Amino acid sequence: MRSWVAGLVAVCLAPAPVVAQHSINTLADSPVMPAQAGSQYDRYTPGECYQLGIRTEWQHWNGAPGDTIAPAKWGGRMMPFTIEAVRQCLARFDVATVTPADLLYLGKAYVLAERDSAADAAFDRLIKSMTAQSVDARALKLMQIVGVYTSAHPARLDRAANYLRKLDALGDAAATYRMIARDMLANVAAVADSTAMIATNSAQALALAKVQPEAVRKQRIADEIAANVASAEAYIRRGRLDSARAVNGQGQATIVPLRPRITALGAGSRAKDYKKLGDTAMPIQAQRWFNRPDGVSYPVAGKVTMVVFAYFGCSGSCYPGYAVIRRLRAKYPPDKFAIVMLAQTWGFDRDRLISTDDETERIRAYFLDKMKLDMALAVWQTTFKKMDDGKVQDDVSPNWAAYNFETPQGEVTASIVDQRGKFRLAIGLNEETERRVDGMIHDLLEK
Amino acid sequence: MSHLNLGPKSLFAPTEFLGFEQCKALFERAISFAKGGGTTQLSILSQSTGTATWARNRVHMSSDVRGLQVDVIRWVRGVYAMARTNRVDDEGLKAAMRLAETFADRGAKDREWWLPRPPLHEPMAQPLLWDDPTYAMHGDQRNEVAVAMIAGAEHAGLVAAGELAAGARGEATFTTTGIERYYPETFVECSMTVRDKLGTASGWAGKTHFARSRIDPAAIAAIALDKCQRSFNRSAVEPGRYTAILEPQAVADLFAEMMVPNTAPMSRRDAESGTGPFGIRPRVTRIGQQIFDRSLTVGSDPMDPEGGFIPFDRNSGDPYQAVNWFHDGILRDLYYDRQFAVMDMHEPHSQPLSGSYRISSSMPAMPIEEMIRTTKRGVYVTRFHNVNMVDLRSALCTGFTRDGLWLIENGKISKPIKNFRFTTSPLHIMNNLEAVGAPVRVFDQQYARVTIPMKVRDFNFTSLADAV
Amino acid sequence: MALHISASFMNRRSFLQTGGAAALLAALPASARAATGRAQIVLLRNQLRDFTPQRAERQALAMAAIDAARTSGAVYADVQLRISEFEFWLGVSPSVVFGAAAGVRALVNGYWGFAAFDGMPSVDDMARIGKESVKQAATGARGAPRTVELAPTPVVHDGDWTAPIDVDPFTVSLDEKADWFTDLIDYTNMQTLGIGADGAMNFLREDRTYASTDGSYLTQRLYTTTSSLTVAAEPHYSTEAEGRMPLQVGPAQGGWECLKQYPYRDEIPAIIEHAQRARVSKAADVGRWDVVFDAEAMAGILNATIAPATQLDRAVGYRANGEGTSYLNQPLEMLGTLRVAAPSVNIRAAGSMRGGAATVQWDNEGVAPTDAHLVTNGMLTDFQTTRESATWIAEYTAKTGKPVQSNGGAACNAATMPSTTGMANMILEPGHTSETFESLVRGTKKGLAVIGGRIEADQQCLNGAGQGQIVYEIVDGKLTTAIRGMSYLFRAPEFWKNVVALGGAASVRTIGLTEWPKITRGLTYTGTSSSIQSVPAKVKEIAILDTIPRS
Repeated sequence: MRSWVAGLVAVCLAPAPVVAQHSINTLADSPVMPAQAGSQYDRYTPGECYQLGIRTEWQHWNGAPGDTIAPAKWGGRMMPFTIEAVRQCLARFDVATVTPADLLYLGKAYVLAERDSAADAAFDRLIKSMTAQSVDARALKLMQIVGVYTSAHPARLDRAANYLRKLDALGDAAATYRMIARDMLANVAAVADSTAMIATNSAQALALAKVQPEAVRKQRIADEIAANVASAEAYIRRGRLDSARAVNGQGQATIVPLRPRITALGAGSRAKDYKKLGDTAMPIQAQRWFNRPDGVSYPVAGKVTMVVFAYFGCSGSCYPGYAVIRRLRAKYPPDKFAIVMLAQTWGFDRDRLISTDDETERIRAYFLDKMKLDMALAVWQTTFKKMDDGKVQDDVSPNWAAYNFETPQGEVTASIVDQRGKFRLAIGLNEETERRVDGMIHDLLEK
Repeated sequence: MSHLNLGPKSLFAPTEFLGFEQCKALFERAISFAKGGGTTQLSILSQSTGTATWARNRVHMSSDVRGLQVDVIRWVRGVYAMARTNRVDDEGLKAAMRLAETFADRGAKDREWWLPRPPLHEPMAQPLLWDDPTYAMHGDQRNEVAVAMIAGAEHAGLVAAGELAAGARGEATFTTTGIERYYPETFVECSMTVRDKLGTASGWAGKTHFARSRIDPAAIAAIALDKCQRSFNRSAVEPGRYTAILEPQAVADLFAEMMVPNTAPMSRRDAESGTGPFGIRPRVTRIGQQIFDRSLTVGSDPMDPEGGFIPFDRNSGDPYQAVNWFHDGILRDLYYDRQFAVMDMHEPHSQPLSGSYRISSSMPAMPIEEMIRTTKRGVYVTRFHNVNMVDLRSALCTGFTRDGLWLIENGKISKPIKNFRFTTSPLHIMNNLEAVGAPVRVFDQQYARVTIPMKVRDFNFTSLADAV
Repeated sequence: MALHISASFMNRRSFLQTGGAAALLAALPASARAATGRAQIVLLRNQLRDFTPQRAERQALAMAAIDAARTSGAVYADVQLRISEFEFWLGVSPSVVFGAAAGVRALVNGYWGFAAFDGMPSVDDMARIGKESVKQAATGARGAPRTVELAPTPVVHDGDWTAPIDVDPFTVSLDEKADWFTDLIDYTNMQTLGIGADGAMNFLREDRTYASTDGSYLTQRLYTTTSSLTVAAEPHYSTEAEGRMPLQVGPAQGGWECLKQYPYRDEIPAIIEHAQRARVSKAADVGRWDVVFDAEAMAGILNATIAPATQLDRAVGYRANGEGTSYLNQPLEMLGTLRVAAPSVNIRAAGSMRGGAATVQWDNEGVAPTDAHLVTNGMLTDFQTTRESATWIAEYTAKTGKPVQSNGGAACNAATMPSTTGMANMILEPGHTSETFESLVRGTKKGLAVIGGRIEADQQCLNGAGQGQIVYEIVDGKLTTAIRGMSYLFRAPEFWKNVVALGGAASVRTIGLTEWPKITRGLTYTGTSSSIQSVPAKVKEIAILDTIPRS
């Protein structure tokens, strides 16, 4: 692990490093931030204390091997040493005397440090200091405060709701910010009652979108699209596929044309996804299978199946996605919930070419042995041809044609197929989207 | 080659430049200081240059400079970071290692793409870039040549300034994954400017090469003097679009912005994203399209007899392959890194861009005198200065003419004219080709460039720039 | 989807440098291009990085070179020994360039010789280059007789100076720097919707040692700090164009406090506004316009014209074969008699400017810089000189009653390059008014406002062209539509003479600039920085071209 750091520490310095007090991974004995006197934060501003916490957390998880549970899941907390470090940094600040421009960041840091009342005090003082400012300025700040609470680990929904009320009180003039705040809430909805929360917030967001002046509505189109997607998804979770299609169709008809030049690409792929919605998912084909019980065809009839795409060269940016797979596997029993990963050979291993058989074995070893993912693995062995300009064109695998959809690069992607083999959701997998995937599986299994 | 064993007895301060054995020993000592596992790369550039510099007709400065640059790159747990230093003592190398490792510790640990593993095939060209007499050239000889070059100008009552530099360099890339690359070269640079005392006329000529026998200092001096003498009493002529006869140096000056190593505009990755002059839209590039006149070919080949260059990219260790970027005017290739090569092309090698190139034409070479004779009205250009690309999409460049500009009327050079500022794109003018001449190695202190004189239509001289 | 959630773990990735080692290396100053511990590592780094030898050791090294030069027959010789460290960040990724270099200059019978190398020298190495520099000079001295006179300068016996800074940036941990940076980015992003930001910073610490056969020995520790922030505004709904605007702090002579104390919050709103307004623009109307230039643009124009044109060795032709010459090329005829600017314009070189990026206690010849009044009330009244070049205008200097001495302009980009007149700090004096950029705009009925940007001039520093970072049309005293793709052209004498108004004392800004040498014989070096104290100005009749095509 970080033995060379430990070695240098032993040689050079006196203060003992803080030992991480957590048990979910093997980093317990690696020092992250040393416990030194508060003097190391003397120059820090409140905002820098917040960044200190973000960085500490990130540096901790950054070194974690891929088979570790990744950054704190949406329900989880920050690491104790992160909280402690931020508290130390904040020790010398007083909500009453910090300059108003620092109050938002002070609040953010307090939330990170699990000092929620102090955060509220900072935000309240901030809002009071802004009473003479424009509606726009105040609405932006209130929206940002809602965002602080919704993006916290864990999310503080009650406190977010409190500031949302204040934001709503600003009326139609704050429509844009009220819409975005609701996007945030829809996104953070917890599993237990998430579907209703997503549905309500996204519907309200869509209504607010229409209240905006036209120029503003066009400028903020991405936020409106997010609300549209969340609204459709809530319908999918409730099994109301026609309503979901209708919402998507309405978005294609009324939102996308507002900014045709930039929406075309995303809209096109979403249209494709929603065309698949409710369609029967094709059986997965592969020349090589691993970890598949005899005779089973994926997707599995009678079970909710999560079909996952990943690439073994993705490494760090995909670790959170693998962690989602592990958590869902642990949460939902195999007799009700099946996971299959679709991989294909590409002809290369990072920066060198590789044979099909070697690559197939590489894939198996990586996902099943190294990443310890408990799932079936289907490996399609790709053929390709060379084009005139020297580039290689891969022949499309049938699985790709049937299941693929556009998501950001460097992410694990997943489709959820219901017990009757119908497509329900297509999504990139990370700890932010996990709520939506978990909620979908939960709702499907409830039926 | 015996020069490979030259070098200092002590590595603490290289006295000349580093040979292969010295580079390897340096690498081995450096990696002994690495901590934390992972991979280490050292990219080493060392050179030794002797220069005679003159101005106002006197070789007022003679110098001897030994340069060294060592890039220490550490990949630790999938992250890389670099420290650059010229210190090769133990303390310095240790510091470089520690710094690189400290910085590497901060990055996202998923940068495993860029490990410099040796490619599956190992051809590396072995161009002739070494010339013993050039390496042996010492101060007295440089001085003699310089003094001889000045004589003509001084005799003519004019003022000469110039530089004659000669030396040698070695480039190396070593990695703990088995890359061991080294190549030495000699170089000579000779250029001269002749001006009158009042600064109303100026002429220039120059050339760089690996061997001093390939350079004719007397000719350079004579041309610079002649151009100055033919530049007196320059007239101001209306700016506008002219037929232009560009000497090879001018062509190289204009094309320089296109061929900056491993950056846009020749980037395949940029083109594939739809940007730059050769991208149309994402995943659609101009490769295969006619960009230039059908007769033109632009290529880079380390084995080029006039334009050879060190045959590997020091930053990545990847060998330079012979490549035609443009062939018969069609864009054939753009440079790409190893990730692109492996993923998108299923090739083991990257295709780096060295900055060295040759422009050639399948049109029969026309002597410059003939180009002039066949021009009704045009402008004759010695070179361009301060060329900058102002718009990447169109490769639009702007800059100034310098050191010799003449009007051509009715097939003759009629009079010297005041300098212009121009705004044009190499893509544009290399489409408007009327005639070309024989290839010539030009003056460039960083790269080996061979170009041809060109007669082009429609060269846009946008305004007067009456500097001399 | 653009969800406005404050920085989460995944967002950090956007700041991290992508691309390979090649990209990282390409970002380094190999040519004219250029420009990211845990707490216990801080102390270790200081032990590692502050490896400048003690003064006594450096003196021994310097003297070894001087003694060798003297015994080899130098009439005059001096030595530069430089040890430096340059830490530069692209986003939150740091890198470093560090090292040492030494160079000796020797004078024999009116001819100079120079010997230098990259690396940490031993006493033997210093003796070698001391001897070699004389050998080089002696080679040149076989030529026709030549005299070099060096204007006198007081001997500096054991001088030592450290640039006055508050916090050595190399004592600030990498973590603290990263936290400061990400907080600045976060603050910027939180100002309004649709804004992104990124940036860079760098820190240079240099230990310079100098000695000469005149008996001077001195050491200086210099610090140069820079940061740049670029704000990007998301595509505008009507044009789908993005907008970008930089905010550059420094380079300046100073430490970590330069960045911590800079009033970013005061300036960020305007930067954001420029980035947003840049997205909706129109082409320029070609023709002649009155232009209000901001202080940064004026600094750039000064840096391309009068600043290099008044480097005396350049003006008389010592760089004719390289960068070029100067339009002020007859110094003795022009000094005191040539009008080069409007009567309101006063420009001086200021090597001792407080916080100037080129500020030194002693220049490369041990000369304590004095202000060189280059332009006085619009007249050319001085050049930037070294000990040698000062004697070339002795005739003029005598007439002014001043002593013939260097004004401290000797500089070099690295110890592996011989000293010439280098980039010096400049001051464009404010006008005796209370004008500011805003008031100059208000006072303009029809014109253009040029803010920042790049400027290039020709080989004589005579004809130039610039493209503003952002340009606005001024209508009835207000900034209206942004103008895209425009170049402004000027000829230096006409430009400076057409200055109709200068900003006053309240409008002074200090702009930092860094120059990277194009070709070097020594290979490990960093850019050379200088500061220009500048004011906005209104200049009439500037030629405007529409340069950049729309695709």
